Amino acid sequence: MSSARPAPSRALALRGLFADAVYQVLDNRVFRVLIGLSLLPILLTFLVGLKEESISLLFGMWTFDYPAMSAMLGEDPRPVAIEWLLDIVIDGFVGNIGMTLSVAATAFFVPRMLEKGAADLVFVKPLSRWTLYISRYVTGLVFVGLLGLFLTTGIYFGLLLVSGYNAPEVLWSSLTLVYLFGMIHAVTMLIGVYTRSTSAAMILGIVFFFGNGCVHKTWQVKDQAGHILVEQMESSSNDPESEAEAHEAKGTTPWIGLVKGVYFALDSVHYILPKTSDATLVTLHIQDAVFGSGRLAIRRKMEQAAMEDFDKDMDDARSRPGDRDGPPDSFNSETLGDSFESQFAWDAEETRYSVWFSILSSMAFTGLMLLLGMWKLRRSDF
Amino acid sequence: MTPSSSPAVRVAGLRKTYGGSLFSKGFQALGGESGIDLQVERGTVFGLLGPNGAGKTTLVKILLGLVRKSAGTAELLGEPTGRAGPRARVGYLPEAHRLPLYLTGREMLRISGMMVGCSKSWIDERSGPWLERLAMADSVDRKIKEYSKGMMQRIGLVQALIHDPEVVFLDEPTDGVDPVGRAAIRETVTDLAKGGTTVFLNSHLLVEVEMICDRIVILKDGLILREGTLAELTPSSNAVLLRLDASTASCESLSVLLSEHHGINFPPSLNPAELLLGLDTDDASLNLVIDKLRGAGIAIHQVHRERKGLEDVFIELVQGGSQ
Repeated sequence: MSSARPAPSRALALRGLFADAVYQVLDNRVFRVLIGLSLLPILLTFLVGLKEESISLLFGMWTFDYPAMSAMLGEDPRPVAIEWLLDIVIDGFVGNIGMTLSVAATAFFVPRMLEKGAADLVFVKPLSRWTLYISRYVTGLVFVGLLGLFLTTGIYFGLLLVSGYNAPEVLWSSLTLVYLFGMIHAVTMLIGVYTRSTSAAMILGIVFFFGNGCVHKTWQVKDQAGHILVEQMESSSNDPESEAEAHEAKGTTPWIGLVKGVYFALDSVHYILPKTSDATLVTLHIQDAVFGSGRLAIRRKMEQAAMEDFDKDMDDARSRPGDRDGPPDSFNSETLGDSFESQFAWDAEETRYSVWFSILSSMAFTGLMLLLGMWKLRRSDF
Repeated sequence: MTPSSSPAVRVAGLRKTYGGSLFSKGFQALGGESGIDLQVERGTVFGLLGPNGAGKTTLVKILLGLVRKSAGTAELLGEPTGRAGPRARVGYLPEAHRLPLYLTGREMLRISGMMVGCSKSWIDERSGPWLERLAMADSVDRKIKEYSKGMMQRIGLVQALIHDPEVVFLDEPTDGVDPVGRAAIRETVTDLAKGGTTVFLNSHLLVEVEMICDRIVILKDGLILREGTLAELTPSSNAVLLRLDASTASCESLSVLLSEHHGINFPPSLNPAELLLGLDTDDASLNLVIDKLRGAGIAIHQVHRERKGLEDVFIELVQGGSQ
């Protein structure tokens, strides 16, 4: 029938694979919900104008002064205000709710491909199984990348048109989301290939995302404040001033070992798992290194302000009359050391604070998950 | 043997065991202890028959690289199965397939064609005649989720053929299709073979297999029970039935006329104008009988040599289970 078949093209085969994934995504209800949710922060930037001297609501119907922290904000408060906005929208709203929904929207990629009857049609094509697997992974990244780009482009134009502020750095936040999703998606896909169940991939993927976040946040707290607890326990057991304290120290001694054991376990898990909590900082460092955007400096300012607030809260708690068990004196921004964010650098002296270590260990974990998934897929019968 | 001159399919000592481990032997799905041997020449229509669980689909899936073999060799178009190369030259319509419901028929054909490396324009150019032929031209722009079972089967067949494959594997292609659609699919398969395409047909509909297959294999419990052409599988018997004009003959006159012939019987006839005469004889003797009847002025309406149908052979083999 009609013309002879031209030589098969691998590029066309990959395009076909990609087109199939795009159609799947567009057909997905959760994707449409995500697009709807993305409109909310975009709308916010159109309704709230961040002017140099004030904040205007609904195109100037109401105006407000910047809050008291404006001393920290400098002459033009908008960079800090935008960073604050990105912190809430990207790290908070999108980084948690959006990421959860993205996992839910893409968890079906692999299980649906492996369904009886559907797998036959896909795996009979002249594409290797690893190509099919990686294409599903890349499609997930593209899915989140497009959503992120839609969101950040909307915010960018909102700021440009209503606030009159050109902030191309906003667009970088989509990279943060892709970087973060890349780590989670590899795990969701691995669960999908083993269980062949969308529900299992979705639920376990989300559990992993939040569980992993908890591990790193706990590690950060331990890394900043954990030594205070150990030091206190050790000093009370080594140097009892009274009989009562000596008696108490006897009970404390075995707990030191337990606490140190928990710390060791926490360290191990932290080093092995992908550093999802570092996603924003990693992309900020890349952006700063490549374009010198200065966003890190703004973040540090915000962090310092938060630490000052922390010290003030601690002092208030200690000075409260009759509050015998207030926070110990050592609990302040100085003894806690520099904040995690300010220690985190390309040239950090300690491995655990190195941006390189964060990126490479996260990529190694992600790569391992992908390899395990491909290995399982290679050994599967349909 | 070069890939282009090699058979479409060649299998030797092929076995498949599911779920074997250190502690259990697993389930032997195909090939038993010795494995199966099979060869399918290019340009033929090959029928694979067998009861449920015989290993038909497993065999097809091993050939297509969807299932890994446990032992033996399997080649598709002269290359070991599992390689991507030969799969680009193969079309497949699986049994109980799940076409992507989120696509229209046309989108599915384009994507399926692109995944074997063909351009969208080439697919569009080729799809028209196939869609016309299988009566899907009017429905191709509708979502697949709106299709009936028969329509899904027909659009599935188009996707298996759209990239001009050298070998087509069809697993129950007429399942759920109405009689008109079945006829169209049969005609398509016959024309494919005429055009040099090898067709590997897996079907429970023995009448269809009988009508279109050049060679047939009957599988049971993962083993080949019988293999051959339709004529080889269903040899004709010596039983012949003659329909005679009752106004020119009677049982008595025929008994006298054919007294030297043995094995004459008169099965009952529903039509009073007809007289049935049953004989157990070879072709030479049959011609003598016909000469005698015609010499006596007896009118013959029909001569029918009885032959076992494929269904009879299949049931006998499957129930008997012997080789």
